[in-house]
Amino acid sequence: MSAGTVPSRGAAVAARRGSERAAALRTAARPLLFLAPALLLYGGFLVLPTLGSIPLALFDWSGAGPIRHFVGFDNFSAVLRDRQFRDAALHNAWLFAGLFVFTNVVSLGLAILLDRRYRLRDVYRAIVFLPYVLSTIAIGFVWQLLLSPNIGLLNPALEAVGLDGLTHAWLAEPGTALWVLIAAFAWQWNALATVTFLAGLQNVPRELREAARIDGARGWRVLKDVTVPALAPAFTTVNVLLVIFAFRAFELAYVITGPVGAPGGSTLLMGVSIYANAFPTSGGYSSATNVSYAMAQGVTLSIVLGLVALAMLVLLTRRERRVR
Amino acid sequence: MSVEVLAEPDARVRARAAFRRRERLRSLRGQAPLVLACLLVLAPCWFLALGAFKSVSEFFESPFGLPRSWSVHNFTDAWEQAGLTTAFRNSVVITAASVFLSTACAALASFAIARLRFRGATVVQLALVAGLVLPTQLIVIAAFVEMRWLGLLGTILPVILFYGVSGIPIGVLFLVGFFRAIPDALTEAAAIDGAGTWRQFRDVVLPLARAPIMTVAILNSVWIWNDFFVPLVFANQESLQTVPLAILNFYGANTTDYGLVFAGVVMSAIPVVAVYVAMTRQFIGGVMAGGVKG
Repeated sequence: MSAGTVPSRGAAVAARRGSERAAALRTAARPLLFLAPALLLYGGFLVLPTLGSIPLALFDWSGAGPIRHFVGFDNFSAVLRDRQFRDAALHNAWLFAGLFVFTNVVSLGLAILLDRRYRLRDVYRAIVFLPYVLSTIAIGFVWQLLLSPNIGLLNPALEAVGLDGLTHAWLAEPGTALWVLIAAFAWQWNALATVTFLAGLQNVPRELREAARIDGARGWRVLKDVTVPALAPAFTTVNVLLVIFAFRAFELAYVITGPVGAPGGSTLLMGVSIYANAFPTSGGYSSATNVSYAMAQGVTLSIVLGLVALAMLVLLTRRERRVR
Repeated sequence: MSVEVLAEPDARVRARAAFRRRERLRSLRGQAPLVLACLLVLAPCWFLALGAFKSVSEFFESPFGLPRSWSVHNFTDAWEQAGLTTAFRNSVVITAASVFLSTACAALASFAIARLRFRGATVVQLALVAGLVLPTQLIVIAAFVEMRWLGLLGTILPVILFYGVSGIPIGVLFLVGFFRAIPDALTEAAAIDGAGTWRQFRDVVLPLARAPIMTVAILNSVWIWNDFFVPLVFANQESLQTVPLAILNFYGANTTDYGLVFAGVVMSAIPVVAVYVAMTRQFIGGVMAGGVKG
């Protein structure tokens, strides 16, 4: 009798334990099921290629045919010695420096003005943000034509006010090309920077500023002592985004000055150089590729970008804490 | 006594008038730079839109004046010569498919991170968002090698997959916060009524998060529609071209006929600008929300 009940009770317990375990397993698996599509895509087409490019950079592979010669860190030392790539890095640094000043003066100023109450405020906002939705191709073509010596806007305008001496073939002279390219980047970048500052300003209590003004602080003092300190988190966001924007820059430069950074490489950016080494470019330029070398360049760029972004983040977060 | 009583309101009125005058001056002084900034943004757009109606000789005569005629033959010629029928079809398919893919993946993953308790949720979230800082130039080369190995080149799949992945970080960044803000009581009530996790996601969380999901979809659509780098790498044959790439190639072949190129550029911008004009608030609000969080 008892012999009959014991096993059956044992079986029931085991069955219950089993179903409990199955339920626990199902509960544990549930997050995985929801995460699976994202993790599969992400792992397969983002993490894998990123990790895969490091070993490929250690070979001597042109991009076609078998991967044969292991060359160790030769590509990396070649990248560091590459005069052209170092110049490109310098151009990226100038782009960053120019945009840094522009962002923290012009974009910030526009954001502060756009935060006030005007009847046309929403119209101003919509127009200032417009470049964000325009394609880089559109922006690139228009800038190219505006700066061209025969059609342009800049030269006729200078002539009209009698400054004929200041006219240039802006995009064809090595001395001016990089700066007008940076101006085009600023035109495109300003939209995002201004709106991000504007978002930060919405978190600065209006009463704080009004109180300061009632206490007799003039506009400049309010700006310096109330608005700017309260904007600290927005400064961090904008400037870290700017590091990424300036060092990853590719599209606008590619459209305006092409794959070689015309004239004569004086506007070549790191991103463009990597692309030109990895893929055959049309239009009569060299079609020899060196994928391993491009990957070494890309890894170098990632390291530089990571370090600069990290330094910026640490610096600005520390400042944020000090300001508060 | 009576003089004082009379003088006080008078002084107050005068002070208030002076204050109002100062405020109006401040308003004008503030609006002047804004007007200038708007002009600097609009001038190139004006140049582009009018240029699309001009012939080559008109470009040289009056680059900023009104065109002599408002004929649309630049548009029809550009449409035909740049192969925009195929390009628009590709762009629509690619944008729709990759935005759906990335939004769906991001929504599912964000739901797990925000509402299903499991160890390592924060790590997964950080890993998915970290993709924002990886340089596309590096990934795209290895991804190209991978796609070739998978035999996917020559189709639009590599472009869709690459955009789909690229849209995930921004989606997770946005949606986790919104999903967390939904009160637990709602999903618990659904659970008592017998709804499983999937039903809670589909019938409770998704409908409540419609606005942020729209924002993510809009932000991803805009850059995917405008981007030419990814198709430049993966879709280097005419039948796979997207609109921006078709125009870039068309420009390469027609460097002198600016009117035609501008007409092509204007046509490619119309869908995005139309959506932007219709939904300006959502656009700016969405980017602002992203800026506060990022």
